[in-house]
Amino acid sequence: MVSLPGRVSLDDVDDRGLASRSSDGDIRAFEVLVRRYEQLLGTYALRVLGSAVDVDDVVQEAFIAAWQQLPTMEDFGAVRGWLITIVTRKSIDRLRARHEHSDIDEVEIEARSDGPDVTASANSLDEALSKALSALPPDQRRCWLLREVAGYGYDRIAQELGLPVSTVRGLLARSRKSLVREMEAWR
Amino acid sequence: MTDPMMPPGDSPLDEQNLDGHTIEELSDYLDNGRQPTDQSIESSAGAQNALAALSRLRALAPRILEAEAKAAPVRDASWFKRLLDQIGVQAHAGREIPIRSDHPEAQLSITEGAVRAIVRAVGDEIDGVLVERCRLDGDVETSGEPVSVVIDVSIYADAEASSVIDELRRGVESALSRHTELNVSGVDIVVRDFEKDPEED
Repeated sequence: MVSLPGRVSLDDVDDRGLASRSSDGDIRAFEVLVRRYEQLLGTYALRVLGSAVDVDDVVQEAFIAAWQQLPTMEDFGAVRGWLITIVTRKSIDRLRARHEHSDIDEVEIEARSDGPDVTASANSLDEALSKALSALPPDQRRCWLLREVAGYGYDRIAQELGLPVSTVRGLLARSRKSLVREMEAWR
Repeated sequence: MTDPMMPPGDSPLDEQNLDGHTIEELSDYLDNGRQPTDQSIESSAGAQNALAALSRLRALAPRILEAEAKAAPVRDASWFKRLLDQIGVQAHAGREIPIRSDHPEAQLSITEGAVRAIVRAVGDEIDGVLVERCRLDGDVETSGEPVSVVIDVSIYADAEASSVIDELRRGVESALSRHTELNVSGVDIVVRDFEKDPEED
């Protein structure tokens, strides 16, 4: 696919090397990064957005923004977290746009987590927690993802989601309570 | 292992198990690296259980998405094509480097981006080195001005660093003299990383 015949294959190059080479304008190196991270970013965006409708576009926009910003990126080794930050921003932009263009606050089709045995049918701890995450109300799930996956602090989460910090704290506590309950059920 | 203190179906973060503390308070305490030490938390079995559960959840967090991502289908070829097409038109061309012509009316030039591609291509023909990126220091837009080329590379473990670097330097000097009219005053090669050969793992 993207290997250099008989030479160093870009597939074997680590994130830092690929980001550095992409910043030089090498589209092939960037494509390897895209292939390495599109599933993770897509999964994350799906979780933040709560529906699959815009995921492909959001991930695409995130990678285009990443390409544009690469020449000024400072720490090439931090590319994973950097991509997550970009896709977080693109996802939240999309949520805001939805909010502005819709009379419905947000279509809520998911089950609540306070019902029993959300994860009874799961085959592993990972799967159980996946299901528990799906079952969280969107605000709780977003707060948890921004905290635990994107690594944001309360203030930044509050700012990104347009919520008071106290609300973010409360939502995070409730999300942790639900997730720990499912996690403990697997112990 | 189930904690003997807790009845079945009970969770360490349930209010009755927190010994008067709150999840918010315990989460903050954990976020601060359990500093400054809070005796009422440290001496409470219930609060300790809750902290342990919060730590476990935090450790599992990256795993949840990674597992889902692994199971997610790869996006289809048209998605990649659209993305790469978009990026292709936004290539980082950089400055225009003039090329003299016998025809005064013809304004010839090569972009900085094209020069970087030439440098990368030289590296791609040499075993054990990856050209990561390069920078042209100097006034490349004025013919004849001295320009220094700074190249970041990774060296792979099976390569002899000094000979690879010499070969790259000679290759770059020769390629730039063939394809550009840059007055190259020097080629500086900076080794950013020594990589293990992935096949030796």
